[in-house]
Amino acid sequence: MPSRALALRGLFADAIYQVLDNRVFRVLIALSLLPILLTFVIGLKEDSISLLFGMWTFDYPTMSELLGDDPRPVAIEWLLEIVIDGFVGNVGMTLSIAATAFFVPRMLEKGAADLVFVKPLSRWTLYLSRYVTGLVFVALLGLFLTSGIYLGLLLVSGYNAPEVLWSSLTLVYLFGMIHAVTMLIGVYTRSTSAAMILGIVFFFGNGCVHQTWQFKDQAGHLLIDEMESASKDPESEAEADEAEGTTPWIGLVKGLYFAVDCVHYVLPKTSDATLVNLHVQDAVFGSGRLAIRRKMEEAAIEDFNKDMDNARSNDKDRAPESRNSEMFGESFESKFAWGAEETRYSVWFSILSSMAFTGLMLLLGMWKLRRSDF
Amino acid sequence: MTSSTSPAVRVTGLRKAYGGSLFGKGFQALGGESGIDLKVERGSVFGLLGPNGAGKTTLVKVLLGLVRKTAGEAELLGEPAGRPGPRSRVGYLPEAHRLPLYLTGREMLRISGMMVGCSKSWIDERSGPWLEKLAMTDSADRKIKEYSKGMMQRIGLVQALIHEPEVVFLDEPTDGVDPVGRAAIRETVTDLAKGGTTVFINSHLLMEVEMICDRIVILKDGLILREGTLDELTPSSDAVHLRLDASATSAESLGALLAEFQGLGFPPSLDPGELLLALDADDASLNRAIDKLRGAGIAIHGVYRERKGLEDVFIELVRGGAQ
Repeated sequence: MPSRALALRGLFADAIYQVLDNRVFRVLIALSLLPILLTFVIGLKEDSISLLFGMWTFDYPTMSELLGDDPRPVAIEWLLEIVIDGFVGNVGMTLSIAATAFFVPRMLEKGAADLVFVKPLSRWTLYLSRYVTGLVFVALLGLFLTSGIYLGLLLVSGYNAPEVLWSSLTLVYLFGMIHAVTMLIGVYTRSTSAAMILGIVFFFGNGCVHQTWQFKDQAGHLLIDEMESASKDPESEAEADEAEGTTPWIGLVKGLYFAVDCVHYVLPKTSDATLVNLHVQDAVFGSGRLAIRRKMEEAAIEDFNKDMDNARSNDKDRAPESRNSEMFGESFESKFAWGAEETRYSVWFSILSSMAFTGLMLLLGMWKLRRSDF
Repeated sequence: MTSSTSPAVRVTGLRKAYGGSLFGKGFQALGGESGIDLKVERGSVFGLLGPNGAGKTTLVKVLLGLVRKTAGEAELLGEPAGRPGPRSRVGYLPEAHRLPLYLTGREMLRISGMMVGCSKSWIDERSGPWLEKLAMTDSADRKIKEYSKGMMQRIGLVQALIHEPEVVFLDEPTDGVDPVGRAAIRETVTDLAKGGTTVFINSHLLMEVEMICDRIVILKDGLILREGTLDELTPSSDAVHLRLDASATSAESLGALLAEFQGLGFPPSLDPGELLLALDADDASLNRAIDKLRGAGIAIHGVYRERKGLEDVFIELVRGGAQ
């Protein structure tokens, strides 16, 4: 075997040993059993839901109002949303960040760095090997999780959904973005705690930015419209005063929207990972999950709009007409169409801009490492 | 250019400064204003001495590419230091190293060897004798976190040597090792030198250096104070000590001889408790003195010429600065 390949194998083996020795990793493996267990405990049959292998059985009817005539696929999608998006995508991702945050700081510790960097490998090779090891670690973990979930659905619910396995790749895609940031923090601070904490903060902060952007994109114009209409044609002196006070705020809100746009477009689109996943599953496996997910969101929005309209009609001080039906309308369509016509909802733009950010983080990390003395 | 005739290490005008920014001046760790020049021939055992902060470790780290030089040239095995190429032919045992605690000694040797391009089977084949030599065979399959300091040092030495490097850098190799382990390490270094491996040792233990190094450099404040072989650094003096046999020596005959030596121009001094006779004499005078002693029936147990130890030279130099 060529010496370079052997050296890389050595590096990989070292990282695997480190991970296996890590306590967080062991906790992670134990926790991974929970979502798998859920798919074994809850059986979503054709006409009923069974718990604990048939110990209790419930009918679907109470839910069918919201879910339509064929509730089972929606119920399964719900389960997958809870297990994969919620548990694996958030809790699992957080623990994965925690389990791999030490990769770079430990390599750079005084005494340890001497032993590693004296090897005939370039620093960028060492750095990238740690990055790739992180991805492999999450890929294996993801494969373990999704295989367990797939088997649970198949054996207990009788639902064969091999596309679920694809979610492990989505986890790698999502983790790849965060891992590059965690490693960069690790190079600069040489501290596992800092890399772990700031990596997790980045993960959730980044998610918040995109949720804010999405909300702004879907409903932000309503606030501007309302402020602009209030500042135009005042009918009384009191309204004129109010309009005068409102005008500068319009600029501020627009400025904030611009800032949210900028941050959204620069940062990796972690929140898009689920939609990318659903689009790919639809395209490759014809899973139909996207349509089900859309149906679920529509039902939730409809429900929300109905509540809001009811609340407004009870409020005598508010204008009688409601604009809530406009909320999420156009933008919602774009989100699920995810056509290439609009950059902001293009799958490729999302993937490429996220990869560009990830690449930049890696380059910055390698640049810093190259300039470091040990 | 790589060539087997090029020295193992060549350093010209090398300087290393740390820090230095808008907020601080930084400090010169190595080379002062003019830089240092150094050459280590292949196959030699080279000792680098100096007080704390002298720049010994910095020099080694520059050669190994762990620290970037500020100015000057540094070559390792004929190639610019810092390049990955020559590092595959180098072994390094750093001072205060942190071996991977999550591995067993044997796993660490395998991974370390693989990182320099050796196969697992090749490493396994060669690790046996090394582990045996450094008394680590029984502990090789235990986790490193269970090792004592001395064991870590010994397994660290094996990882530095396992891939049969051409140059070995040992930074405080006997630190924390018991006397038996120290002897094993000394023996290992001697064997390496016999096999043609260049050994570069940084140590505070002057006696160790004195015993195994054939060329020594003393550094202080990043500058070379003195360089040479042990003989060059510690020249012998005219003082000679003779240990006499107390049982066969009468006080009268000794008293007469002392008076005679006085007259011959090499004034003696005598420690009556040990019958240790000290003379200030060159070789010819010494022979004459021995003849006289033997002629007077005085038995001699031992003769040795006084020589300044490396420690004395080192302390003198470090306290007094460059000579």
